[in-house]
Amino acid sequence: MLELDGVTSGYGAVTILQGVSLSVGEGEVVALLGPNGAGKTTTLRTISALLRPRAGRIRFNGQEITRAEPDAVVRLGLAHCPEERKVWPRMTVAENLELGAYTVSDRTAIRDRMEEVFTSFPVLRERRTEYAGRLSGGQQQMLAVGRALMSAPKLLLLDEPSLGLSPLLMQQVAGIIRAVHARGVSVLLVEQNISLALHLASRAYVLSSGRVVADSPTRALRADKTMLQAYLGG
Amino acid sequence: MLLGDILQFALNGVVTGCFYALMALGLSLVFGLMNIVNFAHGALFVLGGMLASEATNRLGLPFWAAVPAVLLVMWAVGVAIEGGLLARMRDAHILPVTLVTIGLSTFLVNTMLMLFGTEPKNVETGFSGPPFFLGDVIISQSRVLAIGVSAVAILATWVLIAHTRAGRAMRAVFQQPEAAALAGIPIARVHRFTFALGTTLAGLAGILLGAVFVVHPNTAEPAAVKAFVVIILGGIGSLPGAVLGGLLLGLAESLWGGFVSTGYMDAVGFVLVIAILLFRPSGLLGAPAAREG
Repeated sequence: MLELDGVTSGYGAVTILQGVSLSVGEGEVVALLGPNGAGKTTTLRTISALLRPRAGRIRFNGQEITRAEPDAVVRLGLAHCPEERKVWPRMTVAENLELGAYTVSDRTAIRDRMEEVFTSFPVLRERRTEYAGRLSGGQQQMLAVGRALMSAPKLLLLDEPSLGLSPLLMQQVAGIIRAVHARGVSVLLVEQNISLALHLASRAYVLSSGRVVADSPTRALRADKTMLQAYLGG
Repeated sequence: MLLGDILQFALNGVVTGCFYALMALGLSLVFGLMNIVNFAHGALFVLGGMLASEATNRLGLPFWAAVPAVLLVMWAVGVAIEGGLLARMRDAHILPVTLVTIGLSTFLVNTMLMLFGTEPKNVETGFSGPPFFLGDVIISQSRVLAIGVSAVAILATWVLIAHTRAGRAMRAVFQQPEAAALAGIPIARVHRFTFALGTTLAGLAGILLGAVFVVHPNTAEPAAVKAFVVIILGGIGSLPGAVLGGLLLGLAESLWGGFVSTGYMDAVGFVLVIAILLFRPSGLLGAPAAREG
């Protein structure tokens, strides 16, 4: 479903990804692990076309998206829930969700999906008319995930969804990811919380200094923690 | 008699305030939302008046046909400036962008002097009938027109931004550009649309100024500075603040000019801004600086 082949990318004069190749299959949950600065967020930003690769190719659903614009990538069915949530602070919860479905023109579909998001996160329904900037960190995280789901993606990129969440909310977000997966959506997950990532994903890539240094079923990584520790320095 | 004077000056102030409000509304979109310090805003304001003057006087178009035509041209000018200059500098620091708008202003002012001459110009409205009398207060037909058109334009802008999909996309792009891109909002198109809207509002203010008074290219730069005063007064980023600030400045200048001295009229706005910022550092309706995210 998603394939990166030798992707090199970065900011200005700085090259961060040095030829990354990875793939996410139909209905798969894949984790992207690695220490800070390894290029995890850069990988996601390059996939969703916020950054243009300097070399290599990206294919999604059989289409080449290497040089696509971000809105074209969204229309193909890829949603990216960014690092640090990035909700629109001076817009209401409902407006945030509606804008998540900016590429969708079917009003009924938008209403149905918003209903689904409210069912998953009841607190968002309660606070639907409030400014997103007034929500707590955890609620903003739920809003960010909900917003990404509003475009009914086939592949969801999640960047640190557990960041700043209490253990209870973390379990809730994990539950949502499982539910999303159960609906047939593929997930590429960047997560600092290694044990959470290993439980959610069936396969993991380990990134170090902009290179893929391991590609392994998470079952193997869970069984043999030493390999992971060697890469992550933890 | 005194009451009549106050009302008359206040009414004059509202008319001037409408020009300020429209200009500031446009500048507020460009500065408050796009973060572009647009010193060419005054030149675009004058350009609207100049084009409308040409259209009504030289081409003999009726006012109601000239206005949409000029607004369309202003929109195209906005698209051209954004596409040709500003879009290339989207990630640049605010200072080089500001220098470019100062250069653009000089270019536009001198081009207008060359094309349209150095005489002040008026816009022919066809509303030259007798003025209305409300007790001691006199108001000309063209002033009623200016107030009416301004009110409609301000209301339409508010509806556009607060209640349409395009307006929501605009707010999203300027509050959190990355999230907007990820939602599939075409960022470049929103920038172009917003700048063109700001340019068109400036042009409309110029048309109305020409309909009531006269326009002249040399007023472009003082007008731009005044528009900045208004949005700082009203609170940067607040569109209602821009409108309120504009009306307030118009009133203050008119009352000061009427009762105290016309010599210092242009200083009134600056004194007002200093006074208000002392007590409300983020302007009348500006949100206090808050943590976002």
